[in-house]
Amino acid sequence: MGETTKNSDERQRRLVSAWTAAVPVVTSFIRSAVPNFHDAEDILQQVAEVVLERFNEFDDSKPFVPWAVGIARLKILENHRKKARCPQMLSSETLKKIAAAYQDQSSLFGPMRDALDLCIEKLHPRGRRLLEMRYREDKKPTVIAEDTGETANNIRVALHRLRNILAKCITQTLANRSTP
Amino acid sequence: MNAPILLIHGYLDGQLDNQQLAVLEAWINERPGNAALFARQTMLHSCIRDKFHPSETAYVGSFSCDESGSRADFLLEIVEQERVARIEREAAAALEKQQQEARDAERRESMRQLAGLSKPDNKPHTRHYVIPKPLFYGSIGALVAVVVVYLYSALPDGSTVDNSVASPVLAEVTASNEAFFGSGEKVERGLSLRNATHELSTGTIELTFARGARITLQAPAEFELLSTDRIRLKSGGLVGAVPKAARGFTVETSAGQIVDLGTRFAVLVPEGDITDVHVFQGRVVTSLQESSKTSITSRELTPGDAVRLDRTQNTMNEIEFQTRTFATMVPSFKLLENNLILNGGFEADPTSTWEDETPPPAGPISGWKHDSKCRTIQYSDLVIAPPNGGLNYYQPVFHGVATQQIDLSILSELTDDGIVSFELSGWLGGYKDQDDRLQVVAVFLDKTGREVGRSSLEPVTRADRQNQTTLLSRNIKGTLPARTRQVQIRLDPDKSSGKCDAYADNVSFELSIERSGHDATSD
Repeated sequence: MGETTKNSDERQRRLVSAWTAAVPVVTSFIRSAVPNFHDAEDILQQVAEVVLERFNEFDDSKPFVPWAVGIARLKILENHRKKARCPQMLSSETLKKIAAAYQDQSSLFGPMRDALDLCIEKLHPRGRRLLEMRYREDKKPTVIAEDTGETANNIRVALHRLRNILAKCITQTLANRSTP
Repeated sequence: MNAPILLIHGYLDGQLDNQQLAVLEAWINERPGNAALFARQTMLHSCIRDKFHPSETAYVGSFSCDESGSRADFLLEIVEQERVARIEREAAAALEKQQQEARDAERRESMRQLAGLSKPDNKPHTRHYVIPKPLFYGSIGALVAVVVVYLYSALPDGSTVDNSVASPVLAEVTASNEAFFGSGEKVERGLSLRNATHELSTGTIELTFARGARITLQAPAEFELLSTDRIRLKSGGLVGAVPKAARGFTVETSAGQIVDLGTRFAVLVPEGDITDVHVFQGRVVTSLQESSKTSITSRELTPGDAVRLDRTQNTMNEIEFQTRTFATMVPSFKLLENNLILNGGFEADPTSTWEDETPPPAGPISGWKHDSKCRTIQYSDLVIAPPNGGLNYYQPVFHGVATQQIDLSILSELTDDGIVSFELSGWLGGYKDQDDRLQVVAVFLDKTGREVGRSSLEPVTRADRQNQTTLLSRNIKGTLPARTRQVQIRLDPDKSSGKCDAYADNVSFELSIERSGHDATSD
């Protein structure tokens, strides 16, 4: 194996390692701008392709996640331009601010994810079921309302409360962990 | 709904109108802390989603422990493609260099000849290039690989991503039957396709997407590959076979979208705003994009379901489920909705009526394996023929047995999913007050010939016939037992000795996809 090939393989290994660690945050950022999970998944794949294409340009001395989030922002804008009439689209200015927030807070993601496991376990079964309908079955509140016989507004409020409960629980869990 | 958190949650659930979205955006832009809060709420949203879709979260931890098409795997696939592409590019470059040198040498030689520096050679001029074997195979790969992702191309430094440089390979042609694109290009097996619109003018092709979905398209069809798990069908028809690892594969049309949940299904776009969806196995979620609204109507379809999405009418109506229509794309469907018994009407061979109380002699019956104790007889006044009975009917002589074996192995996947139903039918009868009967039996066999089940028609007794010499209709339906790979149809007389005055006609064995809520994709 030649030196060039060896270096290239080493660089690819580093790329895969960095990307594997960054994917949850990048995914989350894309979902923040593209609430449809399937569309977000498509964009994630496009981002992966560009990350790979441009990895040679990446400066190893800098953190990888903000760089990947930056690429994701450009990809989202590109997709927004293609779907000019799609509703629920954030402006490029707003997206820039959110990307900056993600770049600053990316280290929160891992602990948040770990704490969430515990917090979901603590939910009432009905709450878990509602989350399942929204997140596992990808149902919008209006559809869940039809399935359950509730009003759509009740479902929206219930989801809002559940997320608040989870947010508080995560905050508490992380605070307890950091307390000696 | 104006509290910021409520607005964020409404946004994530796709519930905001334009005015509310504007309020939310203004709030996010108001100060960095608001954007940070928005980011944390969306992180939570994303974490919950991943919690309920663990198969998509295999990127957590080691990426080598998951083989189900995770996001990390996706990148690994690209890395591997890139590695192969790099080797092939290097090989192709070396070959090109060698060929260029050979061409230069030949040119120099020609110049020398023209200048009279050497004698012309009268023998046919043959060029020999010695190409090392690995280089040769590498170059073949490189030529095919207009294909492979070119990942190291330099991109402009601008803020936008230039897709025109090289878009990734999304699918490969894994089967091609007399297929040509509208441009006249023959569609060869092994051709890689990228994000582009293609017009298939003749033939049939099978595309295998990077994530495992297999899509068969039949001309004329126009389609666009959008990603490794998304295709837009602009016109024509396709049949999809999507393994579990590629669940979520989506077909877009102008009328809506079809999201596969690990299954087999067909999509037809006969006109711009109309889309027909037929589900053969597993489940799909079909959504109608209503023309005048932003809302969509969704419905989950199971085997045997078929709907038409009409965006002009804003309707999603049930239509007749079909399989035969897709038989050219799915060869196994040729076995469906069709009598699989050869010569079940016993019309293929010339025979005669009873003459002076003497029947025609026993003899060969086309399509059936039998001993010499069987025959077909032409209807006469002696027998009341059933409707559509044709000219002839069947009669065993003494204990003669006729059998027919049908290979069903091509349907194995559907059979083992328990979604293939069968209908065995026929007209059975006998002579006046004699109680001779004929058994029509379907014996289901596995690939080794071992019986895995059987089903038979209820015999017709003299009481059923009210002592008339005639035939009555019988049928039975059921599900093909799992592991069935062949079926033996048997015409068995119920007596082992003596003359048997039992008759049969129009014996039929048909298969179809069972309409049910069966979840073929359950783990």
